[in-house]
Amino acid sequence: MKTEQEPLPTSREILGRLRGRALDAVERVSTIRYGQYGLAVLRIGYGLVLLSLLLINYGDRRLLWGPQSPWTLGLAEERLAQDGTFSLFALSGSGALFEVLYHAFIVLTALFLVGWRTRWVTPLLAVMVWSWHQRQPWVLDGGDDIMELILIYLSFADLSARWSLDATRAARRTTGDASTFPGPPTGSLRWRIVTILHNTALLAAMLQICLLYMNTGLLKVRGRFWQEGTALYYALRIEDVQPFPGLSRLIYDNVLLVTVGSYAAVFIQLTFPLLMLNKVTRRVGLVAVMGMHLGIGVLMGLLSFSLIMISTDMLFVRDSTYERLARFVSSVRARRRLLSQVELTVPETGAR
Amino acid sequence: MTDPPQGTGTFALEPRATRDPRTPLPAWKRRIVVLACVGCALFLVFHFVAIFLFVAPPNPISAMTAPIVNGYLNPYFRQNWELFAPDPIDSNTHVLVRAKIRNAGGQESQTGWLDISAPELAKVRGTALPGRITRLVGGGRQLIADANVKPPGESADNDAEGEDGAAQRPPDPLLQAQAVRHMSTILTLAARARWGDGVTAVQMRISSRLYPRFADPHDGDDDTSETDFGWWEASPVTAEAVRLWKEAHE
Repeated sequence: MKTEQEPLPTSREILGRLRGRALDAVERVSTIRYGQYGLAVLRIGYGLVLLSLLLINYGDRRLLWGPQSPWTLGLAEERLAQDGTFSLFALSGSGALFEVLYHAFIVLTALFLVGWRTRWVTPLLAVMVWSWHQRQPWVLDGGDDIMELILIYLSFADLSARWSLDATRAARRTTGDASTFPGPPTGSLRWRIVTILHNTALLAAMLQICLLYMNTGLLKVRGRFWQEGTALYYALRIEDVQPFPGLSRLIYDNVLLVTVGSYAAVFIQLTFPLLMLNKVTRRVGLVAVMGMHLGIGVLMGLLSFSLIMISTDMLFVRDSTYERLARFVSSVRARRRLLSQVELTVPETGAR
Repeated sequence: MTDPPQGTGTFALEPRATRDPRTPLPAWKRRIVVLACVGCALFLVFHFVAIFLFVAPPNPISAMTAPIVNGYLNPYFRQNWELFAPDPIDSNTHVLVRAKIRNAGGQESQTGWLDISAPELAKVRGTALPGRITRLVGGGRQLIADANVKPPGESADNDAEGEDGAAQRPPDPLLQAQAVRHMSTILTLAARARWGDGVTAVQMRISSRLYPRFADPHDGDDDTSETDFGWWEASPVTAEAVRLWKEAHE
């Protein structure tokens, strides 16, 4: 039954309300930089993985990406011309230039990791990673591919708002300076545009990850082994990705683990974008993909892939959750400090 | 926790603002902000519809839009998420090489087969983060397979329908030539590292062993298939590269 107290809104009123909502949204995305902690986690995760890759392959660098690579400079140049792109590592066959680039890459990655002037370091790193991948495209995996893409998107985002040298420097500059105003400079058009770009880049990275999961799930659905729930068995028997054969056997010999694991992997990948829409399912989804990636990482020796995926998935955790987590950690620390002080005072009071 | 340092990161303004930086925007600037938001939203929609069409299984819309989508996404946003899809592989594949050798006296001889995948697999054992050197031979072989390079006698276009009925892309002769040059360089490096400087030609054998089906995991009868490619002239490689190869595969 309709009550007569409130007349139905006219179409003009509805339009007005919608316009108001839209303007509110514009206000939010142009004044709040979202995902600051998630981006910090991603930055640190990518930094650690890249640094490990650069160091683990250090001894083989010349054979993989240098002048001595079997994907010769000539082949690389041909392929790059076909694709209409470039690689800094294919600029010349000079061994010295290669050494300079490789070491510059290591330094750049370290700077990215600690969050030093990421506004410039991030795009440079994106160019470097792209160049690195294009010089020898046949030793890569899905982790390398997604990092390359996400770094392009995030060249337009602020990656060092938290847990970084940039943030420390900014905090030092503003505290105790009475002439500065608290809060963001929302009256600056430039600051607002940069904020919109930041949020667009963040959303692009998240959409890219959703699309990745949904697509790879969709492609698996039509696979025979995934349908009959045995794909995990076949995947774990591939020698090339079997660092611990005994451990792999323990799992692929277990019918329950193989079947549940195979179905769960497809299900979680296919539904990932939908799971991210709701607070409860988001947590379930994130814990599930993290477990999946850790399993892949250790069992299949694809740890770099796994850590890159997990770091990127962390964008889906809200800033407020990270803040709660940080508060919890610091309160535990404070309590422990208090306890240790109490213990220290015990002998003084003589009570035993 | 202190004041949330919104915007203190890289994009912070100069610290000494002379007037309150939070004064509301004038109308024309607000209009620019709205336009920027609309522009970014439209970009996101366009970009991800394009990516969806790029990676989706073949469908009528992606067939129609392919020129635009490919032109827009290649090369920087191209992607492929066939991660263990549609099915994980179900066989273990090794690459073997043998070589023709001319000794100092000018006499020709032929070597036996050498498994060059085994050292890579050995290096994967026991570490969750193996070096990329362990993917060099496997990656080279994968490129040969992706480019649809066939051994002599087998025509490249006789499998128009792939394993799961998926349409195969027509072979790209340029990519095939590149795949062969890449692989022959890998084979030459391995052969020179093993048999010395006299290597004049190399041949590749791909040995594939189907492992037991899940329904019968203890079935000992492995189904092994061997494919021998033609003889390829040894690639020009430097002594330095051979030394690095030897070092990496010890």
